[in-house]
Amino acid sequence: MLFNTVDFAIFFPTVLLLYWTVFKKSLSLQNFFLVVVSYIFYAFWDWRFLSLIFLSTIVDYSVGLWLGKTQNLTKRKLLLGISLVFNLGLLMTFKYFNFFVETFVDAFALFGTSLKVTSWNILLPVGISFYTFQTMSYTIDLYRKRIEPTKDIVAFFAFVSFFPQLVAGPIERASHLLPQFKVKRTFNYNASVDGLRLILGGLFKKMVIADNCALLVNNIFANYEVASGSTLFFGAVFFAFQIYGDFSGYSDIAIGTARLMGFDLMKNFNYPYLSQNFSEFWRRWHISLSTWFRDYVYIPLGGSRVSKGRLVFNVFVVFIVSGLWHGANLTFVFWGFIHGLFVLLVLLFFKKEAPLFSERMLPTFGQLIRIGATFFVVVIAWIFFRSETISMAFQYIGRIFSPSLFSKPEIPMSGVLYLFLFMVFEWIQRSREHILDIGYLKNKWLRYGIYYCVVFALFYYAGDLQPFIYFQF
Amino acid sequence: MKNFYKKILLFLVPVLLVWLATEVFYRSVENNYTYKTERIISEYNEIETLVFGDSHAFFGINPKYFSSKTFNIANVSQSLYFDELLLKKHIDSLPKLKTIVINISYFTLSVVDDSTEDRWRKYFYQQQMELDVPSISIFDPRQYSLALSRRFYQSAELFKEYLKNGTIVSSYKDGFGMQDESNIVADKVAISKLISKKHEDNSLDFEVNTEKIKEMINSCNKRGVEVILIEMPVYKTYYDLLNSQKKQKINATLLNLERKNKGVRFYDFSQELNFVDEDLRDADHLTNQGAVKFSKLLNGIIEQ
Repeated sequence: MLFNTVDFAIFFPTVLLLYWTVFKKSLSLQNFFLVVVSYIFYAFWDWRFLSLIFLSTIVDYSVGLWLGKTQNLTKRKLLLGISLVFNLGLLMTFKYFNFFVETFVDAFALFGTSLKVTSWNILLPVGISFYTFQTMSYTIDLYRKRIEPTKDIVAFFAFVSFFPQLVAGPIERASHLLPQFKVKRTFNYNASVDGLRLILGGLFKKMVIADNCALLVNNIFANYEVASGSTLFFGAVFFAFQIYGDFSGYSDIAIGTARLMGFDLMKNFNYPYLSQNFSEFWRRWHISLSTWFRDYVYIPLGGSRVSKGRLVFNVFVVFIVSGLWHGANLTFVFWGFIHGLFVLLVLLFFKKEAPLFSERMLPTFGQLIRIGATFFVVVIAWIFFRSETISMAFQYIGRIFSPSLFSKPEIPMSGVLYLFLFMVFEWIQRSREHILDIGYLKNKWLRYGIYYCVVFALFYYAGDLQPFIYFQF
Repeated sequence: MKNFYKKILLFLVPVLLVWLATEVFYRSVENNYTYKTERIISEYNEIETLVFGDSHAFFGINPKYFSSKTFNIANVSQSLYFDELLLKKHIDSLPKLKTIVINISYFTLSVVDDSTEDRWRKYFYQQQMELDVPSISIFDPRQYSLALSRRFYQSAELFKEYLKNGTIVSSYKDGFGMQDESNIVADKVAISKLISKKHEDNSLDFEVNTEKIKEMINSCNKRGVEVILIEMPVYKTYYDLLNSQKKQKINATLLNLERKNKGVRFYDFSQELNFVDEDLRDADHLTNQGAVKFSKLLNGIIEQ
């Protein structure tokens, strides 16, 4: 079930009403209700894959209980191993099997050996990368003794399958989300109003920004061999906004939805295109994934307090794995490599943090240059993310940097203007929680005017329904 | 909490009113779906030839130039899925039916049912052409509200058209599509490049759609109705840009249906030399002049 569909517009208010009325009396009943509706929510895609979520939950719940009972280090390592092998095994089987087989065959072909291996036609279960990472964080934190195991199986099921963030995050930590299933939730008027604002803003980002950009992007990338350099450049810029609107829009709706049910999910995006360098970009983009990699991969490898050689290794491991997390294709690996390279440059040569934005109305010239330069490299890197093959990405970039870069782009210039206005709005809101965080406006009519403008834009300017990009990950 | 619900409901009142108005618009104003249904039912006892297909047939086969009583039930983006449902719905009510014509475009055999772009149409087929559409789930709320099935801006555009023209029906009484001749594309090479890419789905899987044609043939065989499968004229550049392997497979599939079934004929007019630039509106649609030419040609074949 997609957030931006009629199905969800009926499903969620019904769930919300039952949640705060019929199931309000008992916490266990309310959690059980959340599990049931979360499974229904997921079953709208493919009910068969519910078994994977169920199994993943059972395995990690059991491992958690055993980890709580033993202090023996060997046994604890073995238990953690079971959880990691199971979860990563699911990912390897459903997401990466064909990729590794094909890469293996290609590698042998380079040396003149032709291997006859057939790949399988495996369907990718929606959201598998998200919920496996979430459950792994539970067992890893238990192993590190940072949290206590839960005995409440219903709460654990609800934690793994919680429908607002089940298929595309934010990837929550057990230490943050699980305790919320164990305390009585009370209806909070202000939080609920803010939840609605998040949903409205998220829908705007997805349906108006991302879906309209998608139409242009699909057309430009499909015809990249004949398009001018300037058109291709703007095609990549549109994709940058498509993926941002798509994913941050989804996250905002997820956070807002959860907030209406009394839950607090972590912030996933913080105006990433206002970043002044790559290191900052990764503190603002897909925060739940970047902090996951920081805590469970980068820091265990030694983090930044190591030799320069080791630092290079650590950063590349994290970003290449992060690229691979996004999809089983070398294009994502290369995308991760570019980000790793630029983060490394910041870590090695720019020790000083970029100055924070002050309260001034406009950015300084230096800030503008840094924001522009970071955005430019991010846009070029997105070309690898969007392309079907590495060679297509290089051809696309090659065509951008041709004399036709200075020709008039074949794109609707109004689109560029709207995106610029969107960025201006982001700049104005940069210190606020989210783009529609306008509770500070004292004038009620102005607030409602903005809400109705957004609703009108949703109805009138929404692009054709596109699937959320991050579902495929 | 009551206060919260009250405020939400108040906030949503204008939205609900717009939704209601849109619903009333769809339910009360005649469109191609309601009009075609009404027309075919009123001519049940006379129709001898029935034309199925997508926009190529809708704008390209004019019943006026047929010697038998013909009705064009083709429609924009109408797939074999709906052709089959329409045939099954109407065939037993057409006592004089002798021939059906099915237009097969480049994508017809490989198209996947329920594509995102045209998903809204199935609710109109169900509600306004009175078809029982199996792909609509019983849990799907859009089957109860046509306003929910389309994007609002599309409904608004349609409403503007209604205010401007007084109607949103773009079909003549015999089902033939009205087209605005002022938008004939001058650069047919450029549009061919664009459209050939748009129509390429890289699929050679024809199984599902071939099965639908077989079902239609079986229904016709039971009634002694002849089936004529056709590929309509297209612009040369468009034709040349299409995947030749797929074109061969389409023709082989249709020839196979002709060979293996009684009362089936197949004609490939895609590169019919008599059709000049002026006969084509763009890469793959005929102009009114082209439609006259093609309808006469097709009539001659039916009469054979």
